[in-house]
Amino acid sequence: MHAITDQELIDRAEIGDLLVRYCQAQDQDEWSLYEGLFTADATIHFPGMPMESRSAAEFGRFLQAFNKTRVSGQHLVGNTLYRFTGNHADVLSEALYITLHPTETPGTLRRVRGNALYSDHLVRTPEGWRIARRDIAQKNVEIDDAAYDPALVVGFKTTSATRWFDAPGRQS
Amino acid sequence: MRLTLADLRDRAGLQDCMNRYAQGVDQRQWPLYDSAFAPGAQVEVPGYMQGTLGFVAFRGMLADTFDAARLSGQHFLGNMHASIAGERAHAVTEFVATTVEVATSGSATREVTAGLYVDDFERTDGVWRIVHHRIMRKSADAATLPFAPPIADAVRFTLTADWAHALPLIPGHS
Repeated sequence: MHAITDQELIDRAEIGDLLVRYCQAQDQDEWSLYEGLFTADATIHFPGMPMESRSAAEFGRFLQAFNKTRVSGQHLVGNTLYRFTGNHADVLSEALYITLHPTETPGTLRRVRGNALYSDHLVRTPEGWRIARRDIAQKNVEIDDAAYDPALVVGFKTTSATRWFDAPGRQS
Repeated sequence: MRLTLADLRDRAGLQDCMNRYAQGVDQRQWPLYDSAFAPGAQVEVPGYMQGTLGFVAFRGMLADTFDAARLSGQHFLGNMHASIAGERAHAVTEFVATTVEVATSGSATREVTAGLYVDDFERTDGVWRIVHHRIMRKSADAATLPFAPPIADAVRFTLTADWAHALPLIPGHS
């Protein structure tokens, strides 16, 4: 291991931006942030889970459809370790998430809480770093139904419906 | 405070060190865990064990005590505040730890613990390493939850998988 160089600081910041954009895209339903995260042929895998691998583009469409009924979601990413090999990087991060979903019972939301690992392989392209492969491994999943004050639910939905990345004062 | 590039490099190095510790523990990558510590580093857990323990003995305690029933663990770090003075540093870091252990077939014990890591570091050969690691707990919440066997298998995969990406991150291996 070596002392961190200025170039590595920049590379880490650029890759860190991608990791955050992936989360913000799905959590704030801001799909323009999903564009440019992946290489054109990137794939996403779910080792250990009964889910088939798919292209990053296909997974993006799946998430967008999934979000149509979702009340809110938050994915925090951290503890990221980086390894650089020329124009390639391997990155391993922890993820902590919570999502809320409607149920048929008024005032009750289905709560999904979990912990996961994101293992990413990236390549440096002329346009910047891009994820070429992502593996998502689950560490814990808890699903329960919880009662919420209706006013609170309205607040959650407002958070999700607001376009936070519009210019200040122009959120709709 | 005006930051310099050298400050940013130091912060990244300290963060790396803490991430090696957390990922080493969580992915059971013990060489990665070891790489976070300077030779002779001590670990202290007030309220849990008396005095201090060398980091190698502490690693043995983690593996021997918890691995038999363990399904997964995540020590999520944030809000690190670091002060750096030459080749020494001190940092206070928040953590939220989620651990899952098999209780019975079809159920698991999930514990969420929040707390602080208080660490003293030294830099040798350009790499920051912990010389004293103190674990201070703030809250704990344990529950026994239904955990279907297929989910347990998927979760256990994160422990048994060969995280080939992680190992080369160990100092001296890249």
